[in-house]
Amino acid sequence: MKLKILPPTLRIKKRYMVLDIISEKAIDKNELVSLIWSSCIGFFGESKTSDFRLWLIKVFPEEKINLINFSLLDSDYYRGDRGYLRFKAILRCQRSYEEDIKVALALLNNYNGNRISIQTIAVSGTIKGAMNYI
Amino acid sequence: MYLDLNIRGMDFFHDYTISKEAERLGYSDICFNYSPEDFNKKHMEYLNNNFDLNIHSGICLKDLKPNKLDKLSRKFKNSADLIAVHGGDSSLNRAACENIRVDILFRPYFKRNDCGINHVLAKEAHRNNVAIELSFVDILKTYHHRRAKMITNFKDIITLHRKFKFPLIISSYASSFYDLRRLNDIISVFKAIGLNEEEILKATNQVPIEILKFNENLDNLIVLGVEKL
Repeated sequence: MKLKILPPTLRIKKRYMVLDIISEKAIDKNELVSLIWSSCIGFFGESKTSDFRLWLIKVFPEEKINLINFSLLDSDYYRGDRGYLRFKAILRCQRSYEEDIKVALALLNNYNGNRISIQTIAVSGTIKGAMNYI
Repeated sequence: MYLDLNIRGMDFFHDYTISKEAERLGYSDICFNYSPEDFNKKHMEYLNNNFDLNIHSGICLKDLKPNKLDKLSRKFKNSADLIAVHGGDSSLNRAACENIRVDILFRPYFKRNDCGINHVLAKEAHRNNVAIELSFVDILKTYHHRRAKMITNFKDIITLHRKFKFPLIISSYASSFYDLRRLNDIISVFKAIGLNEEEILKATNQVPIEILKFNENLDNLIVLGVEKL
């Protein structure tokens, strides 16, 4: 038998964070989930991370960004980073822990040897509100 | 508004990609720091004309004997937008804090077991107006016990900053555009470390502006406190 839904006063208050992710290579949703969890557990520990109630709602399709979009003779010899894959995602968390999650995500640097950077664009009370920032 | 005064300067394409990403993230000013051998201002003009942010170039003096610091800081004072010293060595940390021509002491805790600053250096830094820098990259690229030790060093510097009132700046020391973050993320990280929002905004905004303004007016400065009008 299915449990009865809690009354609104007893429900956990949620917040939806819009993430702006840039990465060297493509990563799927499962990889992103484990990345976010490992970062939060690494910085805050298991006890505090249990309060966050993280849930990755949606990952949006990626786009390739080319930073060097002009052709110069010298640019052909440049061996450094020329661009990245950029995508956005919506992450659900418990209200009042947004700042802590921001910290854990900002301190992510690489995943399986791929460089990655996660930044929080916005925090919203509804998914509809969060979609305005996508 | 976020001013990042410590980005590692390299070749043109490297600096171009970082400038483009910094523009997207809403930075107002960035400063590429070069070693004395690599310092040239050739591509700064091109970058300044092509991006909607102010791009500066500075000198980062590293691995040198303290007695050479004075000579090199005199040499580059007029050509570079700022003079910085990469700390770590205790005698170099001290020489930088005692030198009035030095604007910033980068990473005084570099490869050390302590924060690299004590009450004597803190007083000297306050007297000579030398800013002490906390690099975001040092907590970004370290893990586990190393990151914990790094945060301890940051907290020690913050304690001294509150007591002795030397200028403190927060910058990225980014070597790639993956190391750049938005200002709200930087604020969140340093709030978690122990700074309050007012101190963070001062360290990312007010102090860097004062350093750049002071160096812009350096030609009109006869001695400290006396200025040509």
